[in-house]
Amino acid sequence: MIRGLPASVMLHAAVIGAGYIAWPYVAARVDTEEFVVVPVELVDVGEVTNVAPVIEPQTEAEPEPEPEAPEPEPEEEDVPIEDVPDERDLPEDDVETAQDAAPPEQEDDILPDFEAETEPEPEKAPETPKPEQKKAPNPKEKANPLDDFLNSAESTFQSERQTKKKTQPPPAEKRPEPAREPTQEARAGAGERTANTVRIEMLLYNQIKPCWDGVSDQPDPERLNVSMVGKLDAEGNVIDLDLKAPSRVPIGDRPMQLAIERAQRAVRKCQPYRLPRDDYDLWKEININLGPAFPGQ
Amino acid sequence: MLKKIAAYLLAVFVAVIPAATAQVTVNISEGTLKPTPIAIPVFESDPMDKQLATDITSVIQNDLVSTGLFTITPESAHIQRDLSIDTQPRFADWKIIQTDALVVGEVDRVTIEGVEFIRASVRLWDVYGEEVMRLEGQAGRRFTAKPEDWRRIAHKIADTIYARLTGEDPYFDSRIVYIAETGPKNQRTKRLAIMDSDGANVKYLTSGTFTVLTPRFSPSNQQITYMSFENNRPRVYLFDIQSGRQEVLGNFENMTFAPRFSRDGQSVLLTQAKGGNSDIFIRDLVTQRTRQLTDHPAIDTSPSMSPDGRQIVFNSDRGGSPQLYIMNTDGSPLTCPSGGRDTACRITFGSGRYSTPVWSPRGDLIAFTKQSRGRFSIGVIGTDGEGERILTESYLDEGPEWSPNGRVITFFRETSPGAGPKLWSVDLTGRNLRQIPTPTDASDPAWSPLLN
Repeated sequence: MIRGLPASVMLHAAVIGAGYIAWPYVAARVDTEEFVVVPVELVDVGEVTNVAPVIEPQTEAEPEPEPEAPEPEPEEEDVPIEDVPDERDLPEDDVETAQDAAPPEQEDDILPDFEAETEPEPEKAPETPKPEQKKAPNPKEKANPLDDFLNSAESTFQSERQTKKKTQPPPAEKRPEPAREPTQEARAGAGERTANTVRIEMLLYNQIKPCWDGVSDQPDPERLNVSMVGKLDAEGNVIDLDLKAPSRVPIGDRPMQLAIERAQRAVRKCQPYRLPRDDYDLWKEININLGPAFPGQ
Repeated sequence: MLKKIAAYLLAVFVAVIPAATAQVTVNISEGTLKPTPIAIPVFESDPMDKQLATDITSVIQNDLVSTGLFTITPESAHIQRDLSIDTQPRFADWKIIQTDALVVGEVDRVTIEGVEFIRASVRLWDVYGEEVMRLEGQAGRRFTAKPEDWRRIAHKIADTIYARLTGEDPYFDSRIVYIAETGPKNQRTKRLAIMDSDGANVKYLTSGTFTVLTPRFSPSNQQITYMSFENNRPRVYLFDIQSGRQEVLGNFENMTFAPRFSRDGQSVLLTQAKGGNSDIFIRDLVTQRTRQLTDHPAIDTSPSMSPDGRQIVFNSDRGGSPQLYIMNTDGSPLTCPSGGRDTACRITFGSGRYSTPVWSPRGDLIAFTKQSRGRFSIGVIGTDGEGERILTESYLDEGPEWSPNGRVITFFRETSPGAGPKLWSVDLTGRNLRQIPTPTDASDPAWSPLLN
C-alpha cells in the first residue's frame, strides 16, 4: 500500500504529463511549419474546446507540409501566417469559411496593418521554436524514462513560455493597448473553436455598439475608457456586470461618471445577446472594453 | 522524489488553470451617438392642477427635445400608467419601449406664510440600471415657486435632467434679449425685448421711439448694455432689468458702439469712433475709469473678452480685410500662433471677411460671422486659429452669441432679401439648427446667464 501511493501518483503524473507534452508538441510542429505565434496562443485560447476540434485539423494540416520540407520550408509556409490576420478582419461569415481551410484566398482582404505586422514575425519565430521543441523531446526520450519524461515536460513548459513571450510582443508593438489584441489574433488562426471565439466577439460587438452612445461629446474623451466583466446566462441575459477599470465610480469626475453609466447602460440595454448556445462556455463571461483607447474588432 | 513530482503536478495544474478562465473580449472605440430616448409622463397632480401639470411637463419635454440630444417616448407607448413619485417604476414596462431614462414628477400646492406656491417634485430613473439617478446628490429634486413662475420651475427641472444625463452645464432657465423689429424697411422700429430661452414670455424693455442695437447681457447680473440712438446720438447705455433704470455708459465725446461686458461683469468693452478711425476701450464700471486698448489707424471693433479676462478677441481690417485678432487685455505683447510676438495676433487666414467674434464661456472657441462669396455663415475657431468650422450658412447669418454653457449659439438669419430677420440657434455640432419663435422679426440676440 505504501508503495502503491507513489506508484499511483507517478502513473497519474505520467498520463497527465504525456497528454500535456503531446499536445504542445503537436502545436510546436504547427508553429514551425506555419507560424509560431498562432499555435502558442491557441493553447491559451482554446484549452477546453480545443482538445477535440482544434487538434484534429492541425494534425491533418501538419503532416502534409512536414514530408515536403522539414527545415528550409518555414519561409514558404509563411503564407498561412497571413491567414491569421485575415480571419480576424473578415466578417463573421468569412471567419467560418476560413476555418475549413480557405484562409489563404481571403488573405487578399487583409488590412495593410496586419500584413506589415505579421511579415517580420515569421522570420524570427520559425527559427527559434523549431529547434527548441523538436530537439528537446528527442534526446530525453532515449534517457531514463521518468526523469526524461519530467524533464521533457519542463522543457516544453519553458519553450512554451518562451514562444508566448515572443508571440505577445509583436501585436503589442502595433497597438500599445493591451494583450487582448494578440489573443484575438491568435484565436483567429487557430481552428474551429478559436474562430468561434472571434465570431462571438463580432456578434457581441455588433450587438453592443448600437446601444453605446460613446463619449465623444465629453471633454477629454481619450481618457474615458471603461472596462467591465459581464456574466451572461445561457439566454444571453446579463446576470452580473462588474466594473474593472476604473475600479469604482470616481466622485467629482462627471465625464467619467457618465462614461461608466453609458457603458453599463449599453451592455444592459442590448441584452439578451443572441449568441451560439453550443459555445456558452466561451461567452458565459465576457470582457467588455468601451472607450477611445480600445480599437474596434 | 515525491516533492519533485508534486511540484511538476502543481506546475501542470497552474499552467492549465489560466487557460480555463479565458474569456471573450469585446473592444469598442466609438459609440453610436444618437438622441437618448427618455419618457416624461405627465406629472401627477390633483385634478384641479391637471392643466398646470400638463403644461410643466410639456415645457420640460420641449426643452430637452430642443437640444437634439433627446427623443421623448410618446405617451401612447407607455405601458405603466400608475406611476407614483414615491414608488419604484416597473422597469420592464419601460425597457420594452426602449426608454433609457424615465422622469416621474408630481405637482402640488403649498402655502407658506399665507402665500400660495406651486411645488414640483421630480425623480429620474435609469431604466436599464434599474435605479434612481441622483440629481445633484439627491434621490430627487423639489422646486417651489409662485404660480406665475411655473415655466421657470419647468426649465429648472429640464436643466437638472439635462445636466445629469449629458454632463453639460444647464442653460434652459435663462433669458434671451434681442431687438424686436417691426414696420417697413425704411421706417423700422427696433425695440429692446427679452424672453425666456425657449421664446416664451416676451417683454419689451424700450418703447421703440428710438432705435437700439447690439444688446449684450452681463454675465454676472441682470444688466444689459446696448447701443441706442436716443436723442439722435449713438451711444452705449446700461440698462438694469429689475429696476428699469437706464444710463449712458461713460462720457465719450464721440460715437460709441459694439459694447460687451467683461466676464466678471465689472467692466464693459466698447468701440469709439473718432475721426474716421475706431479703437477699442474698456470702461471699469466700479472706478468709472476708461482705458484705451487699441491705437491703430485701422478699424478695430467688436471686442470680446476671454473667460479668464486675460485676452480679448476683436475684429480689425489692419491686414487689409476684416479679420479676427487676439491681444492681451493689459496690452502687453503676446506670442502669436503664426510665430513672432506682437501686441495683436491675427488668428483667421481663410478666404472671406470675419467679424463679430465672441469668446466661448468655455474659453476654447471663438464664434464669428464670416462673409464669403456673397453668403454669410456662423462658425467657430480655436483660440489659436486652428480648427475653423462653419456651422451655418445662408443669405444672411449674423451676430452669434453663446448660451451660458457654451454648447449652443444663437444668431439671426435672413433667408432671402426682404425676408425679415429671425432668431435661430445651432449647437456646436452644427446639426441641431432650430428657429427660436418670436412674435415679430428679431435680430441681435444675446443670452443671459443662468437665472438664480
